[in-house]
Amino acid sequence: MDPVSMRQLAAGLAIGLGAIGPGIGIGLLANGALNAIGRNPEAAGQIQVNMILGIAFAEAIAIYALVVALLLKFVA
Amino acid sequence: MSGKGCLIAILMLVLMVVLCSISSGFLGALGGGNTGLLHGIGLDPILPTIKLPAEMVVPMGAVGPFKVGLTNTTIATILTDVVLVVLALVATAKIRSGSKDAWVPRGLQNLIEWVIELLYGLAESVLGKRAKRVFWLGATIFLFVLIANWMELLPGVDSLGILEHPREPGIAHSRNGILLSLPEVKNEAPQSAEGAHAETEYEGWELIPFVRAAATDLNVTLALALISVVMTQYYGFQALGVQYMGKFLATRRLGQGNAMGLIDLIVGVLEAISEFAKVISFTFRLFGNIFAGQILLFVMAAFLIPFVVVGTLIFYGLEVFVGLIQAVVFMMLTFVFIAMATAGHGEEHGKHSEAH
Repeated sequence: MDPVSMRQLAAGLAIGLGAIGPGIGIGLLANGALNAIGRNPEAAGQIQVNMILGIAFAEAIAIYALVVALLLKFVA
Repeated sequence: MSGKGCLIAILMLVLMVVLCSISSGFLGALGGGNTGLLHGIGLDPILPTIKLPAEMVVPMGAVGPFKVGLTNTTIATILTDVVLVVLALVATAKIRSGSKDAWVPRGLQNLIEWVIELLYGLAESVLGKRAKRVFWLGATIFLFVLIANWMELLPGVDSLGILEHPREPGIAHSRNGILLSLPEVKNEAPQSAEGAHAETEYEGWELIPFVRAAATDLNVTLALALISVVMTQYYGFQALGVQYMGKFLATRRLGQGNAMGLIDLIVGVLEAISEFAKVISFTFRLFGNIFAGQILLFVMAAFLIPFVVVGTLIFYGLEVFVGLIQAVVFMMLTFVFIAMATAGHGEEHGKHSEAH
């Protein structure tokens, strides 16, 4: 395989595989938050804020993968 | 909603569509090449190029012993600072003049006070009493990141710039034109001399935008991350004194002849490493989100769905949200880390897990 197409493949794999974990994580987070809101609707505001913060952390991991993919695509 | 309000809302939407389109080069890409809608008024947007390092708007020149240039992200940073300073001056004008008008805040002053109070509430919920001393740091980071992120979404940012031909061996670094690709630029371009096809006349030319979102430059996010982490250490020392070093060089139990102290030593090393990890994760979280958002808008608007403006609008709204969230996250993390650093050893375990 020539280096150019190898790099394309690597970039695609980097973001594709890197998005799996955060996807599961965000799903779990939303699941937990919605359960909590269902049990205690009064605390919805605070739970939402913390959920969004948590999602931002999980998403950041996908973003790292994206950065790697971008580096592979445009820099390396 | 009254009829007038409805009309205004629709007009705003139309205006947004048009502005988004211009900012993303959509209208220019609509007809392709020379038949773009903007071609009639002399503007002919080209497709954006995606580049990782910030581009030089003013090329490197010698100023005294230093080589100094001006990148487009630097310009964005300066613009952000200007916006913040002007906003602060205008919002506090009444307070500083000492008039009694300021006691009942209205308009801009009211808005800014509301924002600041909201932020202070967040700070207090994390830091408790200490919020008063640390608030300025997180709030400044929040406001800076927020304005810098939202600046990316203004029409003209990323789309107005200089046409430039990339450096190639043999060909000198050539620059041409000022604004978008004005028709005159095309004639001056070396390619057109070869009688190239109209659509390929821009081939090889790249647009260097005057302003590019500040957070798409790793230098900016790294600087913010370093400020945040270094100030965390400062407040840690201030609160705990020399004891703060005990976190990294835990010799207390070893000094008592407890063999478990060896584990403490290793944990201390891990703590030290985690400080550096904080810098890296701060840096790349902000950079990645904003850079990815920029590319997302490029791709959505210019390459993938040039005929569905609604798609651009949806992602535009998403980017407004992402810009806000990243600013909040940066601020909250700074507060949480400071809270962890300033708390005594016993209290910090509860907050550990959410840090990474």
